[in-house]
Amino acid sequence: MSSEQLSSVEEIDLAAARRIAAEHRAKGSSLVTVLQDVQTEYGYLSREVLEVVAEQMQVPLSQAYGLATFYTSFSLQPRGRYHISVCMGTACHVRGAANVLGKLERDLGIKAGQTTADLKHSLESVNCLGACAAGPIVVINGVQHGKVDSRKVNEILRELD
Amino acid sequence: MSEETTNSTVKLSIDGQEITVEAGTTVLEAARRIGIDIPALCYHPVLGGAGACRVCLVEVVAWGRRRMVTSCVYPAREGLEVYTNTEKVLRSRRAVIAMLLAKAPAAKVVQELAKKYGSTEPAYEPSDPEARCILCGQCVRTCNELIKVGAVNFAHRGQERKVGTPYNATSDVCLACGACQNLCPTGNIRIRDKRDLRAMLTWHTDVPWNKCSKCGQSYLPARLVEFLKQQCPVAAELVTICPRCRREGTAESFVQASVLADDE
Amino acid sequence: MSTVASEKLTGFADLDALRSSIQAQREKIETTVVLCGGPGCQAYGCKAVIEAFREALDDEGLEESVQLRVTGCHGFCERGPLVVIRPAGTFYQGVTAEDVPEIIQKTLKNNQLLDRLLYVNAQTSQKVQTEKEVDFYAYQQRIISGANEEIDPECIEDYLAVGGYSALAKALSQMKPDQIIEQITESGLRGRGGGGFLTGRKWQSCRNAQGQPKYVLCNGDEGDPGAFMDRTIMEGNPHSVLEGMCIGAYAIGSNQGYIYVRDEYPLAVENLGIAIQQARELGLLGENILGSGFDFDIRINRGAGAFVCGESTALMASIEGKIGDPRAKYIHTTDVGLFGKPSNLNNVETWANVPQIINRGPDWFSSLGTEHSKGTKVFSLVGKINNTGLVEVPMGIILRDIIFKIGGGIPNGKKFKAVQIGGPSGGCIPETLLDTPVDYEQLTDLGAMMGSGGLIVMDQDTCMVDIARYFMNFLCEESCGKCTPCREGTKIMLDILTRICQGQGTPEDMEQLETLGEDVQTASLCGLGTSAPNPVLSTLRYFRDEYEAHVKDKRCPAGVCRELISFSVTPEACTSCSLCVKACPVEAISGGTRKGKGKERTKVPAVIDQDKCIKCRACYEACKFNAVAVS
Ligand SMILES: Cc1cc2nc3c(=O)[nH]c(=O)nc-3n(C[C@H](O)[C@H](O)[C@H](O)COP(=O)(O)O)c2cc1C
Ligand code: SF4
Ligand code: FES
Ligand code: FES
Repeated sequence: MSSEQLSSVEEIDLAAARRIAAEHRAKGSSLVTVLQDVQTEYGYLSREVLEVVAEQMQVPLSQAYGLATFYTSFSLQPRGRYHISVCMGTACHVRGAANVLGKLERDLGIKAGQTTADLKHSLESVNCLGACAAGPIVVINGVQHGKVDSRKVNEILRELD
Repeated sequence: MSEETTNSTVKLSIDGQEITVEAGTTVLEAARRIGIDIPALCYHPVLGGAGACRVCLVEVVAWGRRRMVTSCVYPAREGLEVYTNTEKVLRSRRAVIAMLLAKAPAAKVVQELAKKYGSTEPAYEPSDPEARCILCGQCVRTCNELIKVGAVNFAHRGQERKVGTPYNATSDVCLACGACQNLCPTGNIRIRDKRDLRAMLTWHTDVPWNKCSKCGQSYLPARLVEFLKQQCPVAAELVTICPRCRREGTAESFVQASVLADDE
Repeated sequence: MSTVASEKLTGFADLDALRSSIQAQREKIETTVVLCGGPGCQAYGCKAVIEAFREALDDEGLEESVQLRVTGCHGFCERGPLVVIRPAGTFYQGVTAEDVPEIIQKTLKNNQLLDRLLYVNAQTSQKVQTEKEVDFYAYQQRIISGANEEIDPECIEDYLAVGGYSALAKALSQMKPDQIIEQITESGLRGRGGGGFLTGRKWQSCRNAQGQPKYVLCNGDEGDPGAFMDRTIMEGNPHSVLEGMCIGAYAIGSNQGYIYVRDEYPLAVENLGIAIQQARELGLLGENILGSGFDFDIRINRGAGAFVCGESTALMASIEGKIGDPRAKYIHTTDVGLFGKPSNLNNVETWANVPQIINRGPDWFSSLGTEHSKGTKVFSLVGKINNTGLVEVPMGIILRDIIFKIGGGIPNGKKFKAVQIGGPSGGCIPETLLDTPVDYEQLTDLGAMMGSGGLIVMDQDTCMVDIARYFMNFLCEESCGKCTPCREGTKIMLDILTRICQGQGTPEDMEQLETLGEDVQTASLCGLGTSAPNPVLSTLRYFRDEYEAHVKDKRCPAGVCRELISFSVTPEACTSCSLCVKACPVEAISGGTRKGKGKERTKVPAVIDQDKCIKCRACYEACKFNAVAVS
């Protein structure tokens, strides 16, 4: 790809961030809200996007960066096509969530918080998802799986193409 | 004279000494006024306290309840009793200092406090013997609240919390004014003035000097000059001249003026 | 879903008229199938059941005579997906999509019961037909959570049909703000978010505060791991929260509300958003509510994954778009809160109690509970317990009754060890203290606390040192890092606990934990730090022998701490089924197969190579014959 094309791709990219930020600014939304919506749009917060948001919201970049690194739901790196969250809430913990996470880490060859090189899977441990009754809980792209153990991990992973 | 305090002043006692101060004064400031020394690391007279470092803990009795508070943010109240040196206070202070000593073993102020309060052992094996930052946040507040530039801020949280520029990279907005260095209690912020530029080493940012429009000498970082021009357009001309030329300029006009006066 | 079209209501009479017309229309409906769509049932696959009902009713041409209602959590999540058929109240549990055609043919059309879907009471071993007879519900008093079954959260008519917004109308038409605050104070309602502060008193402070505008806030951050009460209220009955806030705002003198919802609860955000929109359309929120001249509106802010943002000042900072650093509250948030203005923050459940008190009176409310703890409390009962789910009990009930009578005790014949109450700020209560009543002060006296309502039950297989380490790890990760003792102290305590779990602890470590714990408690800035040592201190207090086993004997009695256990196969019990061999991720298991053919066939029991074993428990979980032993 020529550099010209590259830059035009980025133009389109950043337009969405600019639009979202402008809309929120008009509504008086907070910077956290803006970053949430921008992340929903892009899947993560790249440096370029963060810069655009800071500029549009007229705040220093350091403030946007501070928020993006303080709150765990923001990601500065792209996430995998399958985003796997393992609940580490107390209820899931006493039912063996640590083993489930360990198994996923071994099977995917990544640690919690990482993404596989092919950008297929990313893995994270999260605090209680509020579905404790059916714990241990694993959520993949928003779909909940209950009562997960090592065997069920195999099944679940097999289902992801 | 009656001892009555007016609405806007309050009377409290600190370690048995009575003092009347304006409402809104913090216990720390009140104590310092009567020469009682309470250590404070995240407090600065200009910025006030942050209640973060926790070395300024004291015990207060208010509404019959005794509790530990941070004096740098606790407002003086009518009838308040403050104790700055109880066994409990000293124990907590020692514990906090031991933690800071582990976090920032190279910070002089912390070493001195450790000596003074007898907590010479760091609370754990320091991971970086050269570390100085205690995360008091004074640089962050200086840059954001006083200078209003926001080149540096907190990033990450908990154990990972740091102060710095975004991505810990070169800042596009740092003025290299050096105000943060002035307020930092630990000497963590390193600045080097070179021939062509001022290097804000801790912030990974170099800003070239502005050259005096009269004599061509370097005197202020260029970004700072631009900033001052914007802040105060009427003085725009003034800030483009180095202090010496300005002084000479003033002297010259003074001489001219007196010559004119003589003429009359 | 929306059956009664209505315009903006401009007076109290309009609301009554609308309610009557909804109720009249409801009376005509013959059969209602109530489907739980709550988080527990979702994890058990209720979406497929709901879909199956929709399609089948369509196919059968029953969509007119049978009303389908998808609701929030009914409480008995353990047995999900749950289906209740009205008016008979038939209670089916563990329903799958395959059961749906039969339910329609037999139960709906011919009034026959499907035996296999009925619940069997644990005590009596009797099958029961209706929800009322289910032992799990028998000891509960569901004044807050009970309405969930009556309400499709996306349908304001459902809420109106059960009397919704009548408390608001009463407050606006018949009561003065001071009178409302008086009643809330008299009722004895205390905050359900943890601290247990008297709600009426907080409202009074905020009403008295100087400064305009004032804000009312709802804390829906529900950060305690193992707790999901607030989630089920926000998702299942969002209008009850809105109505409570609206009444509170009127009493305090505020025109703007905020609800701060945890990021992990997208459905709560959605349902609250729909509810706000519907309430606005009916004139129950917005300008000149019900023609009373009072204006109030609500915005939703989503959290972004920070436990500390449940703390009041951090929550406000987060709404302002800042990092969630708490600040000292020597000046209360009722005086200087959100955007520097007087602000009143209450928990979701606290707000949901308000309409009830206004409607039924403070005397009714204070007749429930103990001397200083009034009303009911919703708990999420989870962990090693037979009946996981959401329970609502009157204050004063003893923990033993919740765990054994409602919860049905511990599964698999294991022994109860402890119940953790109060989340990361709480403590672990042992068997000997199970007769303690649910009461703010009594729980605090035990080194635990009421907290927001998570009850996590632990059995003999739970290691209490590991639990302490778990909470410390949680708090260490969630500490905002602003103040020294919490940031550094939690880390030091975590390191010590990790050492102990690895069998490298010393007796001095236990003492140091206690000293450090006290230091962190006294010196920290916010509630996170000041309560962070609680789980450690309470386990040290009640389960010291387990710490000692780790430290002195290098042994983990519960068989949890990896460095202190080993797995082995009991040859006599091994059937050589090879399941463990397949389960082992590191090929540490040999044997476990059958050799030869026919009569010659012999079993070779499995053997675990201790050098290769990574102690992942996969074989232990895989074995169906209890042949894998932990020692
Ligand atoms: C670290 C920390 C986390 C908290 N998390 C929550 C929470 O998730 N939900 C909640 O309602 N209160 C939480 N609280 C308590 C709130 O600060 C506050 O006391 C409460 O929301 C007030 O409402 P109430 O009086 O109705 O209980 C938390 C407190 C602390 C210190
Ligand atoms: S106690 Fe912990 S969470 Fe609270 S301010 Fe201090 S560091 Fe932050
Ligand atoms: S000076 Fe008060 S907490 Fe730092
Ligand atoms: S989610 Fe269905 S009963 Fe709780």
